[in-house]
Amino acid sequence: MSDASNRVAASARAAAFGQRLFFDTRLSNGGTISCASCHVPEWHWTDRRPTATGLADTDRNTPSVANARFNRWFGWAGATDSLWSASLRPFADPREMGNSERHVAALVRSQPDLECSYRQVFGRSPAAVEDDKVLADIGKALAAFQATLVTGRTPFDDFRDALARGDRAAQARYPEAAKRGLRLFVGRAQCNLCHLGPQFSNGEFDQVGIPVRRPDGRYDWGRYDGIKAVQASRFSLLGRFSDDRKGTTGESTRRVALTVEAYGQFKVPGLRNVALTAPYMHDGSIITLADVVRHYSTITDEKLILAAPHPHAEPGEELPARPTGSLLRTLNLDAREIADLVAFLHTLTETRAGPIRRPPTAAPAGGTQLVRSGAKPCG
Amino acid sequence: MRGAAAHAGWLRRTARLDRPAWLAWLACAAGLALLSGAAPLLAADAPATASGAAAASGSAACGADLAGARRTETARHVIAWRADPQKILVGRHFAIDIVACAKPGAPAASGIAVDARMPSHGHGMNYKAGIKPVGENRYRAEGLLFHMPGSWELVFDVRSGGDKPERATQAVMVR
Repeated sequence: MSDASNRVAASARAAAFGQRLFFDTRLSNGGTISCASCHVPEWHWTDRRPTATGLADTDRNTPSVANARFNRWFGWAGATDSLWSASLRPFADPREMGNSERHVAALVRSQPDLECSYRQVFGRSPAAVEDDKVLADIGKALAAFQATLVTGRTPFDDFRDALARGDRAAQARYPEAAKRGLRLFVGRAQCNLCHLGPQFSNGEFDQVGIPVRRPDGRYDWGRYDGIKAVQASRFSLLGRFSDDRKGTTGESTRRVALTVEAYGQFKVPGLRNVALTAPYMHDGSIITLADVVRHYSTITDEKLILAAPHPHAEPGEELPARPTGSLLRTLNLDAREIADLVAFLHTLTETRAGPIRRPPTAAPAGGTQLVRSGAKPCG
Repeated sequence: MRGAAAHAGWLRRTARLDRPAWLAWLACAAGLALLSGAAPLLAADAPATASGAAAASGSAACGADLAGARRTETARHVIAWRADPQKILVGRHFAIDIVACAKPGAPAASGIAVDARMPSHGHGMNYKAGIKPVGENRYRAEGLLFHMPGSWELVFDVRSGGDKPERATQAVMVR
């Protein structure tokens, strides 16, 4: 897949390098953590934990990197605006990989296999460029790999195609409960206002009634801080590390508005393979899909306000008739309706998963390699 | 309750990016009725309801070179505008080409601001449009994005010298 901001986005050689980097613990401080420590391929690129644990515990759930290439914003707060800059963020977080760009660049220059791969992919020695540029290039190789991770065909896709061609026999194979759930999804529940498009996400953010106040008393303001982070980042699409000379890929970053509505908003996640990525929500606080549906079914204005108190409507103050910027309404779904929605969500699971995607050096018995670059092996 | 046509549009947008047989979906609205249990919506893509509605015959001359332009008006100005691309898609940035024409006896517009909101949802866009003049009484607003399907309202605030801006709005239905 092409990405004007990443000159190696479609390079098989870069994807192969990125795949090795993704599983390489040398990139972390202390050499114990890799991207795959949290994005575990056997677990659909998640870690099955409520919140991620790298070198220390973090505050947010690990999102899958499958289909990540279709995003406009990355991470629960959209703190990065490209797959390659999103791939850099964990390096610097002391709770995740705890490393510095100087250390990463020095590692790439000093390790023969990394130095060789870097030269093959980027056509120059890492010794010839600055630390931050080496880091950006590492992110671009990681992005080239992650761009190859796309979920497969689902029963819903079969049903949709059967409808398109008027194939009643094929339509009949789609479970009745899922049909009812789909009708709710696009009907009374209006899930499709946010969960739309090929990835079942509008790629934006909303308040969903999960408290911004964490158990430790600190606050996670989500999108508001995410906008500030991306606007301050040297590695955004508006910065000098983007390969997009026309600047078209930076349109969203250039125009994004920092408003009070962004307080307590979090990313609308895509729903493909959602049944495989529990637990749910940005803080991993909901364990099952049925409980996610119940959460939305029983949501109230009061819950929304208290979860993400507006600066002018703190808890205890008079609540406005509706929270600013949220569409959510109490649905009062009954048990069968909840089960039907869950049945529909399960039909968004790919029928046949791809191979376990570990590079040969990190693969357990039976593991297969995703990308073969054809490049002469390094190291 | 949303209608079958709306569901057809939604399902069309759920097509896999690598399987772009989207147009076929437009033909299956009847089949989709089973999902909606509702009559198809008849709404056009962008019904031109507006404050002031710009129905006066003289307003049609404003931006006559903008093929397919829609018009709305303030007390003193007619606003002709056209989206680029003309079909506004959910989740895709678009621009607006604008011509601001002074009504007889009114001062020329000295500037314009463009925003959008979803009145029924109580929120606006997540992006701030950038406006630049591109000729006499002409402007281009860039970077707009409608992140949800439904009824949006474009808001034009027209300035004339130091006077208080005058506002015109126009409803835009996005599928």
